[in-house]
Amino acid sequence: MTYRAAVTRPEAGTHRDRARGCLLGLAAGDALGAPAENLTPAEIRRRWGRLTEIERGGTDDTEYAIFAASQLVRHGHALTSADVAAAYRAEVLPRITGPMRGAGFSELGTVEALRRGLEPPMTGLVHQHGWSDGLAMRAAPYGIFCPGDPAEAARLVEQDGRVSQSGEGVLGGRAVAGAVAAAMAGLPPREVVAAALSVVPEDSWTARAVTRAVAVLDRIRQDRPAMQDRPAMQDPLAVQDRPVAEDPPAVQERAEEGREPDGEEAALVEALHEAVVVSHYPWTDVAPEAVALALAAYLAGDGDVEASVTFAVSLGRDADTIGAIAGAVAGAGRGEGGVPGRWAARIGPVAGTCLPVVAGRHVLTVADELTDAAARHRPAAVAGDETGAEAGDDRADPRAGAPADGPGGGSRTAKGQ
Amino acid sequence: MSGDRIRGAFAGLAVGDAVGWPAGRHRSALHAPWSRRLHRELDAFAEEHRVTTLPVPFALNQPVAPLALGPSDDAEWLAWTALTIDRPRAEAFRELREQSPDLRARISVATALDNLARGVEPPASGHDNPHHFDDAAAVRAVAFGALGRDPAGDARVTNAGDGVLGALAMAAAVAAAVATGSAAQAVEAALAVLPGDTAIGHNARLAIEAARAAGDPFAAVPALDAALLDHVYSYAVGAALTVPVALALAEVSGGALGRAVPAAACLAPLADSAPALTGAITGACGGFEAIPEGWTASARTLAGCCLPHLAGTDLIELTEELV
Repeated sequence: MTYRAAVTRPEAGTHRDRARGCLLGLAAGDALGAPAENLTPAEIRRRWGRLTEIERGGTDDTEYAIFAASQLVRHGHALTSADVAAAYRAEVLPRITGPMRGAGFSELGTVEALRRGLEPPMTGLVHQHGWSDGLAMRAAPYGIFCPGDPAEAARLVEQDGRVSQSGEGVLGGRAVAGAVAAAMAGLPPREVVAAALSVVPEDSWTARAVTRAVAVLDRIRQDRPAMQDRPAMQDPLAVQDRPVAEDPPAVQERAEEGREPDGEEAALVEALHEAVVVSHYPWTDVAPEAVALALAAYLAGDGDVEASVTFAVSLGRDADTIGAIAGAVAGAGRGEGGVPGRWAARIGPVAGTCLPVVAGRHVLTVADELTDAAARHRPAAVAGDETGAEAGDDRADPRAGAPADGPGGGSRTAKGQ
Repeated sequence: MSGDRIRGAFAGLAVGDAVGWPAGRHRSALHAPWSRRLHRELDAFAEEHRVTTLPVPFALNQPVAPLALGPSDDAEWLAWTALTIDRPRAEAFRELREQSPDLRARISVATALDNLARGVEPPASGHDNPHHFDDAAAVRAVAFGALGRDPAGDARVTNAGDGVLGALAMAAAVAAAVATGSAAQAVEAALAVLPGDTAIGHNARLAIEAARAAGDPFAAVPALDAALLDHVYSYAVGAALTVPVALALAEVSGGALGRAVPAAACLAPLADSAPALTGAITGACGGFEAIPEGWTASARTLAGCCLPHLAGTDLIELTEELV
């Protein structure tokens, strides 16, 4: 049954529409990727070919994003790490009576640190999973709240991140919040990825991983035209039995249900793994890796929600989080109408399995609350919600935004441009 | 500088490395792979049948020497560091990969070797690394500290953040212990390089406070467990845990290896490397001659369980050449 948080869908391209698209995309990517988590790409291909249909509900990604959004709605741009720590103490800790289901190591470590009486940033430093993608998975609301202002989105998400993460885990959150903020302003995918890179230090694992992943896509795209002239038998990247698509990208064209992924796509998946995946490590929730894979999937899908998200979850590893990030960024760019209707129909209120405090909340309601909150906190001149995100408004160009103020600071643009 | 204390640092690390259950696990790498497979199957059997205490590590028809008390990973990595200490560090690691392609290493080192192979140079090789925080560099830093050298360049090949700070702290502690024989001065030197706003700096001060309140190494074990240990997910070799425990136990024991190392081994989640680091500091404080001869005799011959080319190397003879 389709859940409807509003009687009519908002006008395409408005802040409200993009906010709804973003969180619907996040929830859909989370749910689609959940059964593929920790599987190898080969095993995913063996089981599903291309995984295109949501089989079960979402996981921690959606519930923690809703929790983060509630902090933003409450505190706006004044949000501090102390506010977030207080919310954990008031709303999360008392409800953990047995196992903390669905939580990742960084959340568990943070809860233990809070119980020991520590305060941020030490709560994010004392456990050893500071680099986890636990912040990146819930970073999208910060981008929704700061459309067109990646630097402010990154500053705010860092307030949240300092409670539970450190180092690259914080940077992964900044990159995703920055990307969503840029996508909320309608920027094209390349500029969205540039915005993500603009809010993390160039000398960081996150920046290096994203840059390497973008380089893989560039290399494969550059190679492709030359391959058209050669026999398919000699060409590992050639598409069998049909011409190579150049525009739109092949990945997007192939997102239809039931189509088997071909050799070219498998080669791209392998090359992305080679470029950014950590081999000798038993866990897959490494933020620089997940963020780089998600942004690569978003670029490979050219910003299309279905193409980006289905390719994202085909990468395996932390597939639900990679799918959620790709879905959030793509959904912010394409709006509610960009999320396939059959996926949207599967997204209901969350169960509160991971965070009981958010049980019963729906991402569309949360998106609307974020939109209203962003309007409340916006200067009066641009406070008109339904026109706020239109192209050509007076919102700051993210590429010219305030310098990043994160660890190692300094604004930068993408090397891959 | 005292040659006896330098030998004490090396021998103390090897004795601590040999203590306890994890050394046997590392040394079982010397047996045939099927023996470790049987080990896993026996674990599953125990789970299924609700029986406790099965015979592991497992030898069956294999040479039994690896099951004897002896040193394992940390002593081998320390010996390799001492042998290659004059080489540029990234080069030394690249050469090691050539020399010993079947080596076994902590996750930080394995990832750093992958990074070096894909052209990611230090410090990114140690930074773009999920285990940048582990104590692999802290173990190697014992060689740098004992010989009065700076461990930072070596540490940054495989580690970053708390992992590098752990190395700086261990080198400072061992250097001070070699120079003065005082555990208090060793701990003071280590604290001077550990900022209080880092996890390792925070934990070091917390651990020392807990140990002082307990007043004795063995009495400090429950206090350290409650105040410090990660009960969510123990990585066993996180520098922010093992180095603070080593500093705290070294100080509260007054630098007595025979009191400090057994207490470190009692913190089961840290029993892989905390006893080794504790042994290095206290071994340097008391010197080689103060370590019970039975322990040095058992701990001096390397097994080659992680670095096969070092099998049979006598760590103390190697140290003689350095002093």
